[in-house]
This record gives sequence, structure tokens and C-alpha cells, in this order.
Amino acid sequence: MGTFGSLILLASGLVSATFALVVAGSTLKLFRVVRRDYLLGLPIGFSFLALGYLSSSASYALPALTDPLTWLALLCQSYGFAFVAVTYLLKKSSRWGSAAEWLVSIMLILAVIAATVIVVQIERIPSYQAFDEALSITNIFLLAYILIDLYPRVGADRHGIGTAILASYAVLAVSQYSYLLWRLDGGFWSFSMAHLLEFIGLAVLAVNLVQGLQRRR
Amino acid sequence: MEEGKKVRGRDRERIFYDILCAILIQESNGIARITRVQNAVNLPWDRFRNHLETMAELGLVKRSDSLKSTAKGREFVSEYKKVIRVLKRFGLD
Repeated sequence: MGTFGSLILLASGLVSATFALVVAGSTLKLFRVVRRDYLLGLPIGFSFLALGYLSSSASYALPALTDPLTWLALLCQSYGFAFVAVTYLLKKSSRWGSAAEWLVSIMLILAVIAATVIVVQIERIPSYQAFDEALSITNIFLLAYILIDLYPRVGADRHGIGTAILASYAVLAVSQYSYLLWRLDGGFWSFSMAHLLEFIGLAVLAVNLVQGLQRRR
Repeated sequence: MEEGKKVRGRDRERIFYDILCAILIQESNGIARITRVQNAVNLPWDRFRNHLETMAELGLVKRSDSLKSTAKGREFVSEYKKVIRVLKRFGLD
């Protein structure tokens, strides 16, 4: 990849990381006001995502550290989506997500990730690419869970779930799908779309949060 | 209420919000009397008193013969409303 291409990818990663950090900061504010335990998953999840995008971005700038940084990006992104999905899972709990429920949910997610990795690797030699594909599939499932949870409640009342929020999670899921396609076919457009959709999805979430928290009455 | 659906208890911050809203409504009509606020938020006396003590320590209300909201309390109500609106948009309330 040329220097210009690397610069674009570096910038794209930094923009995504910035949006993810804005979302993490805003969701931390949500938690601090209402103090519901299950909401902790959002700032933790989006911080993991930000770290993942930063690592991914840095891997283009620091060729000597490409391997560890791409592994870090891979794991952080999956952990990020897992924490966000668990937040939606625990929201349904009558006790609003105790520490034990958090632990059980994280263990379940780790089990799902491990199972996906094993299933993908049955026909392959273990490699970074196999993990990458498995975790992209896992991310799509995690985002699909959020969409399935949100979709029936869209427009249920005047202050119901925003279609923009639903759309942003959908865009993030399509971004992961596009990234998976790129891992399989190595095409330019799938890779570009993955990055573009990634920061569109995060930008919509960030703008909605910041606007919502600034609005007067 | 739907039959068989679990009733979710109010968390502490929600109770603070309800108490402050009840105080603000009664203040707009004059004085916020303790027993009226207690009836409005539907809490037993011992729990209500504990919450009031905590709220007074946090500077959200002033307690004498009646109850008075503070600037910090009104700010809390405003922030809480905004946060709940955002949480609803995210499907998390």
C-alpha cells in the first residue's frame, strides 16, 4: 500500500476513534446521572472500540509493530461490540444488571467468540485471517442482537427509540460485513466502504448523544 | 399493567427525581409539605425519610418544616430529564 493510502487509513482510524471516544464520554455522563449498572457497558465498550480503531490506525503508521497492533485492534473491537451488546442484554434484567450478571454475560460472549473461532478454524490452519473473519462474524451477530432488540420498539411512543440510532447500529453491522468481504476478496471497495460506514455509524451515535445531552428541555 | 410482567423497582436516582418533581410542583402552588410530597412519591415513611436525609446531604433539597428545592436539585431534575430522553432514544430506559 502506498504512502497516500496509509495516510488515508491512518486518518480514517483516527476519526473513528475520536467519534468512539465522544460516544464513550457521553455515555459515561448518562451513567453518572442515573447510576444504572448496566449502562457501564457503553462507556467501556466504546472505549474498547476507540482503542481498537487507534491500534488499527497506528498499525499503518508503524510498520514494525503491525502484527501486535492489528491483533490488539481485532480483539478490542470485538470486546467493544460485546460490551455494547451486553448492555442491551442486561437492560432487560429486572435487577438492572448486577455484577454477577455482567460476569455471566461476559463469560457467555467469550464462549460464543471461542466457539466461532473454533468453527471457522476447523477447515483452516489457525491464522490471523481466520481469527479476523471469525471475530467479524461475531461482531455482526452482536450488532444483529442489538438491532433485533431495538427494532420492535422503534416509534412505540413519542420519545421512542430513534430511527437514527437503529440506522447507526445497522450501518456498523454492514461495515463489519463489508470488512469481512474485504478479508475474503481483498477488494478496494469493500475495504473503503467498511471504513466509511464505520465512521458514519459512529458519527451518528456521537451527534445524537451530544445533541441530546445539550438540548434545553 | 400487563399480567405476568415483572415490576421493576425504582432506582435511587429515579426516586430522587420523583421527590424533586413533587417538591417543584408543590412549590409552584406555594409550600411543599413533607407529607404531601411523601404521598405524591408513594413511599413508606422510613424509606422516604432516609432518601430525604441523603438528598439534603447531597444539597438537592433543604429540609425544615417544609421541603425546598435547591439550585443543585433543579439542575439534577433538568439533567435527569435529558438523560432519560437520550436513553429512550437508545432503547435503554
